[in-house]
Amino acid sequence: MSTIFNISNKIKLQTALSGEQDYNAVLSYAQAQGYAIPSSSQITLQETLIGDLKTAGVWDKFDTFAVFATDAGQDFALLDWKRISDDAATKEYTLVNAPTFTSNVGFQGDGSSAYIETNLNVSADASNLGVGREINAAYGLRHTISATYMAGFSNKQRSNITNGSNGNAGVYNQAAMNYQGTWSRPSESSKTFTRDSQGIYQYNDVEALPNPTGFDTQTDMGTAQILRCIQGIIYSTAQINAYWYSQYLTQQEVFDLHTAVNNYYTSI
Amino acid sequence: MIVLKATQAQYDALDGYQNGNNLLKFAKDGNDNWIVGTAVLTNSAFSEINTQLNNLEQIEYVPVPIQE
Repeated sequence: MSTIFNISNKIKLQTALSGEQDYNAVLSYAQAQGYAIPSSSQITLQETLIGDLKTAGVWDKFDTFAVFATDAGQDFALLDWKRISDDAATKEYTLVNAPTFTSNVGFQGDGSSAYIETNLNVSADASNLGVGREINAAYGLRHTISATYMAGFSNKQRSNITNGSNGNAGVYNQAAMNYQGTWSRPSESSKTFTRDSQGIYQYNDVEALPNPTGFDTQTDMGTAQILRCIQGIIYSTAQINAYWYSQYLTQQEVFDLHTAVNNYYTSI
Repeated sequence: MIVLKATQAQYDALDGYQNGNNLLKFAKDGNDNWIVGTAVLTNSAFSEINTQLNNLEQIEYVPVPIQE
């Protein structure tokens, strides 16, 4: 009898919080930290979001992915879904100088000192981006309030996410492209690049870097930062709903990523 | 926009304060002052150092010029 009891006592039937394995890891991590988790209806929406990202083939290309628009509070909003899924050493972002959190919307900067530190050193920690791999980088965010500058890197003056992109309905994907020349490189027309009024190269849905030499020669870009740009010279007043950092994405993947994030945000 | 300016001694005492996922880290303004936004005064994460934060001088924010 005692043997049976001991066996049954050791069988811990742990009920999954979500049937989506990677999202379940996020929820489990949050609970282990003592953080609130989203409402049941929002859990369903976030399961759908992560499923859509996987279907699109985008999820595995992420180095980091965070959804700030949640009803679970700012602790859950700062969780890095991808690095939790990957069981990375660092799994959370840090709020610096108190950006304003709004439930179901995200974080807004104050324009003077507040920002979000992703704690992702893109030259050292990122599997999809690092020294020698920068030309394959893609990163972006969704926002509800725009600003001239919205995200950048701690050791990098350029490669910021700006509002220079046209017609992207609040979602930007800034990609480093392997520029070999300058603004007027001969291949520009053959690849149907155009320049907008702010000098940002546009290629369909992808906002490309205006500096052809900066991104792919930088040896230490530092950490990816949101609402802090140009190596800390500019602090943004943008309001950000989600942020990601990945390998370079195809046009279709960018479209699917934007669609998934927008569908989530407009459903909450 | 009003921000909070720290002396070097205040900077040394407060910079790097962390409570959970909330960090206080002074930034430089356009006059090379150490500053931080006023949101830290009302954020509960910084309540432990609220008295010291309230002692910071309130000044008008001067942006750092962007060098192209």
